[in-house]
Amino acid sequence: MSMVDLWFEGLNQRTGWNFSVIYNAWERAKYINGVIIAVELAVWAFLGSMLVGGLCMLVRQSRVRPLRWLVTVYVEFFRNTPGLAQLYFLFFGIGSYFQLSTYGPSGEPPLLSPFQFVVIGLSLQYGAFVAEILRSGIEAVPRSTVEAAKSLGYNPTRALFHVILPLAFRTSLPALGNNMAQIVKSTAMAYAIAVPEALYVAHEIWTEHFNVVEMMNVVLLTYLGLMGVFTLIVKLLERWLHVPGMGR
Amino acid sequence: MTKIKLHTLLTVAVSALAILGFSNAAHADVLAKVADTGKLSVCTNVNNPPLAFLEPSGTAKGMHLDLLQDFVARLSAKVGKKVEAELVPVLPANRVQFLQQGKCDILFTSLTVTEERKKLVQFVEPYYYAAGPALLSKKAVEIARWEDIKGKPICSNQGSSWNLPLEQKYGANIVAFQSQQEVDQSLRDGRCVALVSDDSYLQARFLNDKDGVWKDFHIQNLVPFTEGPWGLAVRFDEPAFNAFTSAAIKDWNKNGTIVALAKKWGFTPAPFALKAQKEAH
Repeated sequence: MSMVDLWFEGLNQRTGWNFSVIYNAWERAKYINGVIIAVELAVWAFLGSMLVGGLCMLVRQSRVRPLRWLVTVYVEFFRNTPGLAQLYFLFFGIGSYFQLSTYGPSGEPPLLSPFQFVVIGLSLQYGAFVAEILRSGIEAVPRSTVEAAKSLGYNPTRALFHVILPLAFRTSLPALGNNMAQIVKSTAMAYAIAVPEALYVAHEIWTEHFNVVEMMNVVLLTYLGLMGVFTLIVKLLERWLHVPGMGR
Repeated sequence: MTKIKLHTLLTVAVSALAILGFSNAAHADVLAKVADTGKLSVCTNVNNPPLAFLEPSGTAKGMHLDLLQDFVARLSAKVGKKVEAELVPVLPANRVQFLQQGKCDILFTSLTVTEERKKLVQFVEPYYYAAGPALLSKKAVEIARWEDIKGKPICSNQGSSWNLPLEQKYGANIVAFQSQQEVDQSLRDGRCVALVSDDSYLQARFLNDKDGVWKDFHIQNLVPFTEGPWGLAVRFDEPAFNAFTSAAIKDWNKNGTIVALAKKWGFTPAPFALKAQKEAH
């Protein structure tokens, strides 16, 4: 047992502040694993939402009107309903009805794990936001720039990929970073469908020891720490992609 | 200068004393409060049939409510005035906090006695009932030994005292949800091979199963690896109320009230309760 463990155990005996998550090896391992799962959820959901949002953005550029309507319906639906309700709908609604997470008669693993349900749920929800963010980015590209590209002989597709999107992506970066922050925080919803991420493990620990106040602080500090790391990454990305003369 | 300082210090000390005195008054013992107001606030889980549940009409019923009715009658006799019980609904995960914060005077739920919990609330001795863990699964599933659940998904409630032993001792993969309805739905959906809950609770479920919801399920025939006693709980600074409650439980054991009520609500009376009844005579 290390010095830190001993100190926190002593703290519990002296003051009643019970940070069991630090000195109890079993709980510590579970909590660390919970944080890793939260990070994994965030990364997968971020990639998923970028994919979904990117696809929506491309479809919106198409000339086929019903396709564009479809995207609008999707975006409005997922932007205007609560994330937790969406997750329950996917898991206990669609998941139960189509038996997507059911073990087979001789124990075959289910098609989708609760973890995958959360990734899908978050990707769909935040994909809708990414679609809107990219749209605003594209609309922020000056008309004159697009016309200049055309007069230089770019066809519409090449103008999109070589001129409009690189500029639109850079304008969108702060908003995308914001979206990333929302995703990190939303991974906590996963505890409602029994994915053992940080909040779920914290809940398990405090029902065992009733150290709610201590665990609440640990959970909040954990998310603050995670957010700090992600914010830093987004900042570095922004600096790296900065175009001299654009914006400030 | 020194005078003023001393004066300030005195004021602070006096007001601190006053506050202390006041908070003591607010914590005056429950019996005095009940005698004064004629009301006892009781934390109970109203979502846990057949111990306590709401009827379609909205009235609470169940084994705990029957015990509570008897308890309140005794309390009325003691304070010489009609006492009314005010029910405060709680969840397994927040019930101890509710008692500690004074939102109720007594915890009337199936709270399993553990060493950790003994540090937080005053359990009234003797403990009044006990339950062991049991597994409910589809009929096709056979689990011969507790060891067989290693690595298998077992649905449970967040805050159940069986989660830790099943995970640590038997290596089960506990999938815990917030309410019993979600746990049940997950078992029906086949998200886990079985669900774990109190044996008495699961037994009673089959007796009250009018709609045949559970006809394709059965309780695994396993000897509980432990029997967890249930305790009524009060706050620490209530020796008089604790003694009164303790006397009531001893009386219940003597009169056979607990075993009779367990049978009435469909439990196979726990060996713990039968033994307590025998010893009371």
